[in-house]
Amino acid sequence: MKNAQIEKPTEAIENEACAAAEAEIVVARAKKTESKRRGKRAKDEQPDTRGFSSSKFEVVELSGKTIMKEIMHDVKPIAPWLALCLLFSLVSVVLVSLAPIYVGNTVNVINAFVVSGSFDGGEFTFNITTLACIYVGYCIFSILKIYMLNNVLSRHFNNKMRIRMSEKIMRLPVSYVDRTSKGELIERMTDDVSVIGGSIHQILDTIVTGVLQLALILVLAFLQDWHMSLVIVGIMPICIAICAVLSGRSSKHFDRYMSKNGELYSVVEESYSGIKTMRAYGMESFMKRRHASVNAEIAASSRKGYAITGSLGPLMVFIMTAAFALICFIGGYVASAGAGVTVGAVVAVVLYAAQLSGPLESLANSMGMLQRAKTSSKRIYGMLALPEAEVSNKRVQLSCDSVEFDDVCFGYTPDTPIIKHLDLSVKRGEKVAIVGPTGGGKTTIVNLLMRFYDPDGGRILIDGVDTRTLDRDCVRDCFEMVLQDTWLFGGTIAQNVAYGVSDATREQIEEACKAAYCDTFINTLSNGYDTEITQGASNISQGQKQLLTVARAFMVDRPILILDEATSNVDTRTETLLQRAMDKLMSGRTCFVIAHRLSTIVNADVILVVNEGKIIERGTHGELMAKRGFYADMFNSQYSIM
Amino acid sequence: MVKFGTYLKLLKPYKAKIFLYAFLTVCSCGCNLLQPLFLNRIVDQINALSTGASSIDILITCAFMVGAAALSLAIMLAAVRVSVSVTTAFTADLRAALFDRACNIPLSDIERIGVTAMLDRSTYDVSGLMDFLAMALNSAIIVPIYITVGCVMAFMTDGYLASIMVVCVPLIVVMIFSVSKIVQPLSKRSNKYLDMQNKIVHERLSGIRVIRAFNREPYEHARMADATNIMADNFVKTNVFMSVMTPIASLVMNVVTLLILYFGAQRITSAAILSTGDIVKLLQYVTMMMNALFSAAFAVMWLPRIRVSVSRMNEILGCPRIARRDVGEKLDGTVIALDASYRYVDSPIDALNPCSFSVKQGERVALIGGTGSGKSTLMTLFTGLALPTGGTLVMGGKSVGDLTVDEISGSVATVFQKSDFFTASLRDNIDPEHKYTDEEIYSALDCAEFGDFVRKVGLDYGITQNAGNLSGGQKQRLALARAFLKDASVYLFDDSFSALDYLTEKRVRKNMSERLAGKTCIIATQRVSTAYNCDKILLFDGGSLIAAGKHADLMNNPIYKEIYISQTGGER
Repeated sequence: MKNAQIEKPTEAIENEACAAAEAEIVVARAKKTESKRRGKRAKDEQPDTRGFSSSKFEVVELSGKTIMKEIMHDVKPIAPWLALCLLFSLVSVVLVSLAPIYVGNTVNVINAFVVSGSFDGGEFTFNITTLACIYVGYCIFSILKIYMLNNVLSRHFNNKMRIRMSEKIMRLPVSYVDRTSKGELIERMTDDVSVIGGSIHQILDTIVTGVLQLALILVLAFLQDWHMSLVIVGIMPICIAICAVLSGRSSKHFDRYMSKNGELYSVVEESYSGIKTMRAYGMESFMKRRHASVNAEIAASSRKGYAITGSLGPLMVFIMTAAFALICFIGGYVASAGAGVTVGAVVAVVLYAAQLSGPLESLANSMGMLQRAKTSSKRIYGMLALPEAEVSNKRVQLSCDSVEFDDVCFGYTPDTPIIKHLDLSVKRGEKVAIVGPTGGGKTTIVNLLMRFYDPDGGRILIDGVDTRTLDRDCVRDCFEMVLQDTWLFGGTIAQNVAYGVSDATREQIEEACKAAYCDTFINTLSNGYDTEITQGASNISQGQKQLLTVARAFMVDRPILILDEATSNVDTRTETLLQRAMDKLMSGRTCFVIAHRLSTIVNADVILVVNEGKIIERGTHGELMAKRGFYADMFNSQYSIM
Repeated sequence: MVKFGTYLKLLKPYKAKIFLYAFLTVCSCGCNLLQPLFLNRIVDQINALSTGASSIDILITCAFMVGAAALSLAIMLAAVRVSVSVTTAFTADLRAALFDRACNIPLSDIERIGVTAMLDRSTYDVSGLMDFLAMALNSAIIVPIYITVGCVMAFMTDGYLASIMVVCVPLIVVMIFSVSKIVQPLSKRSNKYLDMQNKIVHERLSGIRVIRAFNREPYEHARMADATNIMADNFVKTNVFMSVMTPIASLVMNVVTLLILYFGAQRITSAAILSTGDIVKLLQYVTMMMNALFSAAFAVMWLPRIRVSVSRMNEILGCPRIARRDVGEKLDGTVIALDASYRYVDSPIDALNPCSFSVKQGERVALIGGTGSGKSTLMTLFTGLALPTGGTLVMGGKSVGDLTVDEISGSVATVFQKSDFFTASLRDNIDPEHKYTDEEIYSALDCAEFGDFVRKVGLDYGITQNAGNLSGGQKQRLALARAFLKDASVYLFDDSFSALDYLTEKRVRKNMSERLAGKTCIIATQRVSTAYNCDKILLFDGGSLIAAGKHADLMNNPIYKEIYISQTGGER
């Protein structure tokens, strides 16, 4: 079983490489699941998206035919390269299949000497050299194929697909992004794309070449000796059946394993991030019990699954050995019956039988890959087919002298209306304060003004023009926002402050920061304006982050300002600075201020008291207090005894 | 310095099974190592046919081959079961040990390592270890057997040819190590790039409003495209290097075969002590050995990664356990601080500077100050989750250093700034050990103005992950109910009313004043309105306690006055 074993370890090595690659994917998946959790958490901090299930990933349901068409379309540009890879693959397969012939010949030459004493040196050298060329050629073509296939798929397919998805995100409405778990979206972009690319790899590398290799083996074995080749014909279906049965039986265990793994992950994650609560309320035994039960299920399902897949190897070895024995016996029997079977022929057929296991096992594995590819492609193309935000190209020079809400109605879902028939008219320079209980509709008003969402009924007018008919960017150019969610990205302070202005000079940035009172603290940092803001921005306090967002607003200098509860999480020192900075920001601009703190809006021109989507009271602070209504009640309740 | 001690301890209960596995594998290897001998015989027997031997001999040898293979199969199937049960059980034990330890280490260690890092170590690192263990177990036994037996048999067949093989083995080993050296840093980088791309996408999605408000979508898209391109380049490199091992390994094996055939022919034609069967046999042993070597190679390639995983897990396992004692008698509601201060690990300055004050039983105390003023740090000290790094804190007449977390939490009920809930029923979240009756639970819920909601959905209402199906206000009320349910002497409220609107807060505070009459209540807040009527107000700023007293007294303090004015507009 000389060269027989050479093919088997190749396959064993390939399996190992697959295992290593799979391990990478598991790693990546674990990380992806992690970011999925991160995504879910971050989603909770978004305004006004509570009540929506965070684990859904909406896609458009496409038929299998449409998906295939799309995939074909995407594969077309790289088709010539793929054809070349296929060619290399086929050459390697042909070479590998020819090797046993020459090995057989060599053995025959040696054997002839042993039996009869004559050594055909020329024949021997010829065969050995041919073998050497075949082996080297096989190695070269394999390497070429590997390089080319990886290059083409990673750079020109996977890559392009990820970029396409990123482009799509640009055009999706904010409502979709709010509704969708970020972790899931990220997982689709990385994992699912890899799976599709990987499956194309598989199809070319394994399926096409595997089928060809099997056919070649059959033919060549037959040419050596048809008696012995019958064995090969016999074991092929047996091997296929075994692979199929084992993978079928193990898949249900592995599915359970994966889902329990996910469950364990969330148990552990909850426990660690909630450790304070756990400890303060003695919940450890409760969590420990939960962990233990999921752990036990993971152990059981993985044990069952791996026991099944682990038996594949020994079974294949046994079948191969039995096949070798049978081949030898038949060969011997036929030889004894005088039909001219040589030792070399026996060796060759044995080698061919050994070559079977490689393509067979890969074919079995590729079925699983194709299944995953089906799921992944549904998700990706379903996402790419999602409806996009309506686009209008009308751009108008707006001086933003007035903003009006005309009988506006809106709800995030059709059966929960949040804004009911809102009428409001604001003139340039007026300061509007919007107050009221949580969920009353305050941040929704911001979403509508900025056209992150469009009203279900009624219109929003700027300078008398319905904003819905305008290009979104044209509308947004009127506004600058200072939100509660500060959103600073991993870049330098200067880059973050200048975010809205692409060609800002350092002087402009510093001026804006001086105006926002953050210049002083920036200069105390080790790199000043070039300090990198770390992910999660932990090197700057919450208050300082908000000062930076005010500076950002100063930089863009637009006529209407929206302040959304910006001052509620800040320490008192910084709050005073913020107040002053905001007063500066507000002067000369139309302002919509949304806050919990009544003190910040006491100086407003108009106060709108919003409750359950309706404006229930409006007026100045003095007027509202005199009314002794909802507003007065709210204001006074600040001082109740504990 | 990587310590394997704990892991070996975890493996101990499986000692017997591991030996069984080793024994079974050895037997199976033995059967497999007979096969070349059979093949040798067959080849010779086929040759003998031409001189008139019968084919029955071949049949017998074939039967032996199949018999040995069947025996090997049966043994291996059993061995696989044993090995799988050991690795999965060991991994489960490790996960449990990590989780148990992680839940019982000091808070400062948890914060130092970080939740995400701890999560990785408890999940990804553990599964990596399991895969490696399976590979290693297998290789550790097979490799030495195949190599020794293979060498012995090879030398017994023909010393000259065997020595060719011996030369090749170290070459192969060197080749394996050099490829793995190249691949390791590449795969580490792949993960880094993957993380980087995910981070960018994540940022982009969470900041979508700001991005669109400033019309920066095209810029963000370009950033992502760049990251994707870099990632693709790296992937190509890594994958190519990893996959290239296969054809190169093939080539090596094939070259060795050629050498043996070539030199074998030489030996036969010159010395004539060998038969064709001998050469076939030799080739088989050689390829068996190389098989074993290559599979060991993969285990070796994993080794650096495993080392890293193990040292990461050791970060958790190496932390000390916190003391645990059963709750004895309840502490009374007095709190005294004597120059108590706290400094975070790796911080050059105190987060809380030495402060002294005393709280009597039943007092209502407000801690007022902004973020970074030190009041949250002090609240953590009250919960007993962290100990003061300087000075003393005395609760119920005992120094917190002498008490365990359990003893303190038995008498202290806390509502944290950020409340955590677990994916379980509502009931399990506030009463995990089912100590209270439904009536008691509803009474606490009503106090927190949450009873109506719970009556609608029922106590067995499932809370989803991160309490995603509850609003901010609902979460806070549930957390308040959880605290009210406990019969404690001290109640701590860390900015616990910020998500409630004024009216709800007013009602809750009224309920509280009745339910918690006579109990010490300490409230950390930024709102002057909350502090206004407390028995004592402690004013914090910049990490220090700067004033204490009632509202009227504190109005003489400029900082307090400033806060007051900014929040109320100077009006009453």
